[in-house]
Amino acid sequence: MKEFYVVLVTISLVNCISLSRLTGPASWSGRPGQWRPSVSNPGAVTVFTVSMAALLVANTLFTAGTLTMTAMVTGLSMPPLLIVTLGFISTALMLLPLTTWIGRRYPQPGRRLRLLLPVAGAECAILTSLLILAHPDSGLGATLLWSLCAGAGLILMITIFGGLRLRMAVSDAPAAWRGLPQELVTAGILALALLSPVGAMI
Amino acid sequence: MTALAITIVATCVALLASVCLVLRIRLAVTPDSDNSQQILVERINAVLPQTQCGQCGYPGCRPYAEAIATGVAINRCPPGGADTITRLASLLEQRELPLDSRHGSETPRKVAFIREAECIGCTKCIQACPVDAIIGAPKRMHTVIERDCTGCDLCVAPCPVDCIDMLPAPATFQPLTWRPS
Repeated sequence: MKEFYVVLVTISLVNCISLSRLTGPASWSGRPGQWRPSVSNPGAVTVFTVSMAALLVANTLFTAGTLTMTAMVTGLSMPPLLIVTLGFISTALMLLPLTTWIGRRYPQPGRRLRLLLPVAGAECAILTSLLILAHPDSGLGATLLWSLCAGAGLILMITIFGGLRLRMAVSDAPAAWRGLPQELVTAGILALALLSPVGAMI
Repeated sequence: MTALAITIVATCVALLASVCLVLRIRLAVTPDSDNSQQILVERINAVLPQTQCGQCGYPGCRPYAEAIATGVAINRCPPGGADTITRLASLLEQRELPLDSRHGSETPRKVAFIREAECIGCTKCIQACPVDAIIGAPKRMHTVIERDCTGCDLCVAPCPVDCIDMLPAPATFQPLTWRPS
């Protein structure tokens, strides 16, 4: 489970940095001058985060469900390579309707996320495989619960970073410190804070 | 046993693939992505006042035009007022509706004015302006380019010292309204 947690935090932080470079601080809402998340008119970050969390849960449901059914019928457990392959195949399939739907429903965020959504899909596939491999003996319900927690953690993490970045954008920092350097240091401090429980897990 | 397991996994993947492909195809063939829709969006956008104020609940005039083309109400634009509603109604062959008061009320055209002696140069109004009509630099006085200002009010709320006034535009005022090419 430790490995899963480390990978989840790492992926969240990488997403935070890449999203903030791509979309800017005010992209929680599609409305100018307002940064709060909006349900009726979401910005690119909101669409990305919710899509990724939903994809993670759906992918876990499918992969873990398939594996549970196979184990119940045949009594065999799948090799890790097959679990990873299954995760990637199901994510790729789920991305097909999801990207089209986002492109139609939210055209502006959809255009900005055209390249990022497949990356989110690959990350979801890795997270799903790790989640199942970290708990090979747990049932479908427990794995689903873990995936829900991971999705909620991801949303929380990107929200926290969005808020921090908003404050950073108006802070009176030295010119050389503004932008990416400040974000990288913030991500580093967040990583230290979030990975400290891993020490307790050892 | 192994063959049975592989069959089960393959069946599940095939089921998922068929569901996803059917959804993808259904989404792709629904007619609102064709060119006529784009032309309609352009025509609606040309009627909207291009203040980019966001009072309609959309980030700017073009997103609202896209929403109107998909069936959203035409009475959510306070800067455009009754005139815009009339023109939209005739364009879309719809009934004219009164302006939706939840999105604001119709007011005479306004222009932002910065009381320059009180400005602390925080740049917050520059970041809020959707049409780049405010010039200035950090810790230096800001001012409004009157010709470019659409009177959208978005710069008023972020100002920490409340030094922006919305003044009625002179009768001869001709704003340089941005239009898509």
